[in-house]
Amino acid sequence: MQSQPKNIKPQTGKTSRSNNDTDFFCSTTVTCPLYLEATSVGPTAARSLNQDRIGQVHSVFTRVVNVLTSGNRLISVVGADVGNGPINIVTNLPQSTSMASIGIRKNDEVLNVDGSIVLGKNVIIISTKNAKEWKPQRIFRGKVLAIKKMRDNLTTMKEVTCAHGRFGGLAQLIEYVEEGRLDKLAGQELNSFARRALPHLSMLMKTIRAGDYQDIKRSAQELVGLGPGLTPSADDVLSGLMASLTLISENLNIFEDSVSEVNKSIISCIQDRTTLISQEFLMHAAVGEANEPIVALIEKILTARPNEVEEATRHVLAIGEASGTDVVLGVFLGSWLLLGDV
Amino acid sequence: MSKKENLLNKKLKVINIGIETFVEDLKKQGAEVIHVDWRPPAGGDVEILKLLDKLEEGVDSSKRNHSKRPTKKQ
Amino acid sequence: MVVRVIVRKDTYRDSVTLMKVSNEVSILEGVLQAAVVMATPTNKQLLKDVKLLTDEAGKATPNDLVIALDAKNEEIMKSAISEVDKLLSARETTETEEVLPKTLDSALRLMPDANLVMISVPGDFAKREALKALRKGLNVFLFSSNVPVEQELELKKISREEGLLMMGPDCGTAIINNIVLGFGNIVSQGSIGIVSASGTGLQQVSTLIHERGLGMSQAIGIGGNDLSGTVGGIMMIEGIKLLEEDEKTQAIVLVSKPPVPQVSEKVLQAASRCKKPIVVNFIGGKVDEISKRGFVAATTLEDGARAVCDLLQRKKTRNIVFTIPKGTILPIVKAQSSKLSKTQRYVRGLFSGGTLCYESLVILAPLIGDVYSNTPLKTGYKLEDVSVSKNHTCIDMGTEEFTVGRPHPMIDFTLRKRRIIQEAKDPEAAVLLLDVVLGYGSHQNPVAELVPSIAEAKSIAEQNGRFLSVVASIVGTPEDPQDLRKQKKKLEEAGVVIMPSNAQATRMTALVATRGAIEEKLLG
Repeated sequence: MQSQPKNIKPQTGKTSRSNNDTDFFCSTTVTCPLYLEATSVGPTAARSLNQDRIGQVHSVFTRVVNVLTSGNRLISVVGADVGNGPINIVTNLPQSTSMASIGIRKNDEVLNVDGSIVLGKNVIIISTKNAKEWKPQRIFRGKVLAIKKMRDNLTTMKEVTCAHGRFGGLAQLIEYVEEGRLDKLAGQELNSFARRALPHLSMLMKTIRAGDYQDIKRSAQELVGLGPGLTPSADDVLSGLMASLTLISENLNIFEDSVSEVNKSIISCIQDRTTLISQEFLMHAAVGEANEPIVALIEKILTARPNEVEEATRHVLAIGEASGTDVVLGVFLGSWLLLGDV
Repeated sequence: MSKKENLLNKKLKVINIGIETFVEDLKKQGAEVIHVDWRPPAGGDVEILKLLDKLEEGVDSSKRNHSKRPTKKQ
Repeated sequence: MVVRVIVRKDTYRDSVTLMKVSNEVSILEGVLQAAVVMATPTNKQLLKDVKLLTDEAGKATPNDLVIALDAKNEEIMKSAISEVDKLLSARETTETEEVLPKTLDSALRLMPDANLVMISVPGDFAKREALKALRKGLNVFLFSSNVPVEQELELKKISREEGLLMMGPDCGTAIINNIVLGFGNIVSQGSIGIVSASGTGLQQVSTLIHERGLGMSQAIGIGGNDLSGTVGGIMMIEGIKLLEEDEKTQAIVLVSKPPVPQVSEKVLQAASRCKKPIVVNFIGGKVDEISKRGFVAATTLEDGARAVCDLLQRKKTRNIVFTIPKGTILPIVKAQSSKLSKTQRYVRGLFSGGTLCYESLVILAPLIGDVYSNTPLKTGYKLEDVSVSKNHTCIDMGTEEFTVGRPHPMIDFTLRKRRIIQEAKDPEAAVLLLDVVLGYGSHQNPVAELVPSIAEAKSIAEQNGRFLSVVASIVGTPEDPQDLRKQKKKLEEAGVVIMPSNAQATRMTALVATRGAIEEKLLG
């Protein structure tokens, strides 16, 4: 009998679990869906939404559901706390709700039905009609500061990170980086990842300065995929590095072509060497696209006062487990490459 | 007298598992309802669920083998 | 020194979890080293360098999770591994503000004298929950669909053994002790019992009984697959027995599409053992075979309702064509069809109730020929593309192909509205046939949705020199939340011909489309 309604758009009011005036429930068929609204969509995510079949669920976390698109890319459905990003579809998922307990499963189909994103068989239905397209800020708004002030901001960023960062990965190295140089290191207690990464990271910085694209690639190859985390620690450093190189060079109009070549060299070796999600972040970082807090941090380094830089740094540090801290290291290194020797 | 008979012509006391909107409708009609805040067990992981089922089956059947049939709710 | 590497293929845990696993395992007594990383080439090289790489781990890919452990001895290794498994399998906890019971057991502690469990969890989990309820001695209303028939059979065997009701799976409606479970209309109490495999079928029959001034004792839903070969009609048979024992019930009507012969036989045998009068309402079924057994057979829902009422009131029943006099019918037909243009000749039925769609297909076939559908009577008449009508077409818009990403058409009219406009643009479409189902669970104000689209559709037709006729029936009672009288009035004001039942609406549609040509056939 298919004559009876099997999913219900509730007409009743709030409950402890309700989201505005909708109710939700998990479903593998058509019972009561979780209705969400997308508030903003990143450009890469937006491109993937144009077809009827968007893809399938790749992984499910508390505040994030990753979708593997038909083009073998990843896009993410996230709660507002995760924030905007090139591959993010930001929704009004209630703060106390975990995506993992709704019944969405890996390999569930993700479809575009009349402008709504449907995950699974009506498990989650996301309306995109009011979603704004989020574009990462490329041209910074504020006035660019004097070099000295920018360097001061970098120092502030380092101090904040040392005090509040999480150092499970490579980011330990930030304590020992002087003006972007990793040379002075001896006898400190480094974790196995940082210890292993150190010579290669040091070499990477040297080869970038020298403009040796083949050597850059070789060094990057030793780093990609290294470290703990779903986005391996070294990848986060590389993302921070490439994003800051790109955005700073564009805004200061310096070394733009070189930066482009450097980034190309770095990502030429990521295929099959790291997780899918990390590949996405790396590819976007290579063209200066990153999640909002990261872009905001780079902007603040160039244009804002130390207290704003401190706040922006803390936002990035809050990302993931140690991801944020690793990214800051990358931003630090990338910024010094351009602001140090000018 | 069968258990079904105990349902007919008595006040309905309902435990609702699933769609929450049913609860309101039932209350409006004078039934007593409790709503269960149900989540897929094992985080929705079907493999773990199969295991859980097997476990419960085992417990169930051993209960039935070793003790008197448990008294059913009246 | 025991080294073991656990490889979890294609496993994604967020970094917080991974860190947690790493930390908690590292501090275990006797664990010398622990690494929790994704198996990227560089990480594998690292593991190799610290002698933590096994062959299996070596084959892992970047999207696999690797937990490498070095423990003092085998025993410690074992407990470390089980700790890892525990941490990785840990369920997500969510914060809920209210304290609601999370399981049947905890709910029972709060309501120990519960007598019914209403289950609408996803099909994958339905059997599990239903079984739990049965084992606790509780009756079950199982709304969930997509439950395999084998599981349904198992559940029903157990419920039969335990003397409990298993209404469903795929049961959307029931009325027990005058309380509507799931979807349904507010009807009077009385002495007619229904056992139905169809939800909207139950709604149509019960509302017509109510209109007649009689009432329901109990309406037992048994789910759409009860009368399948596998399940064999278990609940229908149990339902008959139950209603026979029920003092309040004096007459019974069985509602379903015609079951396969062996199940039909089982049901009829059970019915013959029943001491109370039974109407067998197999929609479109073979009347003669059933009448031969001494039952009143009805082939439309309306006939079923009328027959059981007549039975109760000891009146002789006959089948209805129209309850409105011929003298009123014919002018309506004329008025509607005279404005049709030459190209217009097809019926287009757009249904929210699957059984109502089925009933219409059954009624239309002998009148206007075979009808295309997404749920056709004949295989050759399945629509290639459900979004485009062909010749005479009736579609059930509650099927999965129409409901991905949106609520059911009884609640959400978006697709039906669109389709109404689409049909209006088709020069061959003559009459639209609609069902409007009221009651619990349905849309609060169907006419607010339908009228604007109908008006637009009629206008489109008019602008192109045509006339779009719209015929509908409303399944509901004046007691329903939606204000039946207002619904009817607004539809009539919009030019819709409202008929007292789906069956009559269907026949009216056929008359209009054929411009009265089948009048003889129908009305004699």
